Amino acid sequence: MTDEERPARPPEDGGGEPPPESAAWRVTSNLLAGVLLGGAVGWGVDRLLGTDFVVAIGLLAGIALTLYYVWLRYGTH
Amino acid sequence: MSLRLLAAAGESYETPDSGLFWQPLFGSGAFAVTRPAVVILLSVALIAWLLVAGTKRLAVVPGRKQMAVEAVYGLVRNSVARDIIGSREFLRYVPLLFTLFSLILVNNLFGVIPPVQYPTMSRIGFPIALTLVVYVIYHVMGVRRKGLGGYLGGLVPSGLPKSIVWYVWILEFLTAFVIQPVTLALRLFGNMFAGHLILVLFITGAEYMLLHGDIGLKVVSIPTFLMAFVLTIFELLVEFLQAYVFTMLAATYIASSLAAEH
Amino acid sequence: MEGNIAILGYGLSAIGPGIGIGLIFAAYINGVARQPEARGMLQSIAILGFALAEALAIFGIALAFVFR
Repeated sequence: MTDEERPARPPEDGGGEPPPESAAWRVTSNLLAGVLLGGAVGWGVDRLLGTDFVVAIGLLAGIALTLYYVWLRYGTH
Repeated sequence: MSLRLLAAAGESYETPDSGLFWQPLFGSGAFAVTRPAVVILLSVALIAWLLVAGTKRLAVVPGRKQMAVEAVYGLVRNSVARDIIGSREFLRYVPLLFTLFSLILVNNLFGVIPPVQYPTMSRIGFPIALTLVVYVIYHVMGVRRKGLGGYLGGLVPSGLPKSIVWYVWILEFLTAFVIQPVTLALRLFGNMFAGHLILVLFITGAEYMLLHGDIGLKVVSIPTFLMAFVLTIFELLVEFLQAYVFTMLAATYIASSLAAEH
Repeated sequence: MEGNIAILGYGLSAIGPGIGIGLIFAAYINGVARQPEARGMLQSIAILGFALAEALAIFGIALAFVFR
C-alpha cells in the first residue's frame, strides 16, 4: 500500500496514541493479568488457611474487577 | 483406530514429540552448536545479501529486486511503525521494527523451505531473546520520556473511581512487566512449534502408512498427503502473520509506553 | 499417551469464545467498512464484547490449571 492510497492520520493525533484496534491486545493482556492476580491471591490465602475454595473466589473476583475496569476504560466514552 | 491398525501392520509408528526439536550438530550439552543456531546465522547472511542486492543500484523506476525490498520496508514503515507509533516520532523505531520483521519472517519461512526446514523460533530461546530486546527498549523509552515516577504512575489511566485505582495499578503493572512480554514470546514460539510439529506428524504419518501399511492404509495415505500439502500452505500464512504480529505488538508496546496518557 | 484431561477441557472450552470473537470482529469490520465515521463508537462496543468473550476463554485456562 503506498502513501497515496491510505488516508493519512491528521498530524495532531500522531503524537503516539496507538490505533483503537490495538486496545484488543491490551484487553487480552489485562484479562490474563486479572485472572493471574486473583488466582494467585486466592491460592495464597488457601495455602495460609488450609482451605481449597478461596482460589475459585479469587479467580471470579479478579475477572469481575478486570471486566469492570475494561468497561470503565473502553466502554464509557 | 488408525493406531491399532498401524500396530497390527507390524512395526509401530513413533509419533513426533518435542524431542524432534533438539538437534545438536556438534558439541554437546548447553554449548552445543545446534541446527537452529546455524539456521539463524544463515538467515542473517541471507537477509544481508537480499537487502544489499536489492538496494545496490537504486533507481527512480525500481527494478524487481528493489521493488520487493521496498514493498517489505514500506509495509513495516507505513502500516506498522507510522500508523501505530504516530507520524511524529516513528522514524527512530523503524530500524528496530524492520530488523525484527525481516529476521522473524525469514526464520519462520525457513520452517517450510526444503533444504532448511527448521523454524528457528520453535526453540523458545530465540523468541525470548527478541522479546528481551523489545522489553528493554519500551521500558527504557517510557522511563526516559516521563521519568521513573511518571512512567510507573502513568500506568493508571485518569478518571477512574478512587476505590479501584490501587487494583488497576497492580493490574497494569503486571500487564506491562509480565504478561505482555511473556505472551509476546510465547505466541511466536507456540505458533512455530505447533505448526512444525503438525507438519512433521502429517508427513511422516502419511509416509509410514504408504510404505508400511496394508492396502487400506495406502489408500488413506493419499488424502493425508493432500492434507499435509494444505497445511503447508496454511503454515506459510501463519509464518508471515506471526512475523507481522510480533512486529506490530512491539510497535504497540513502544507506542503505549510513549503515549502521554493511556 | 499421557497428559491431563483438564487441558483437553480447556481446548473444548476455547471453541466457543473463538467463534464468538470471530463474530464480534466480523461485525465490527463490517460496520467500519460501511460507515467509517462510526469507528470510534463501534470500537468501544466491539472491545467490550471481545473482553466478555475473551474472559470466558481465559477463565477456561485458569480453571484447567486449578482443578487438575
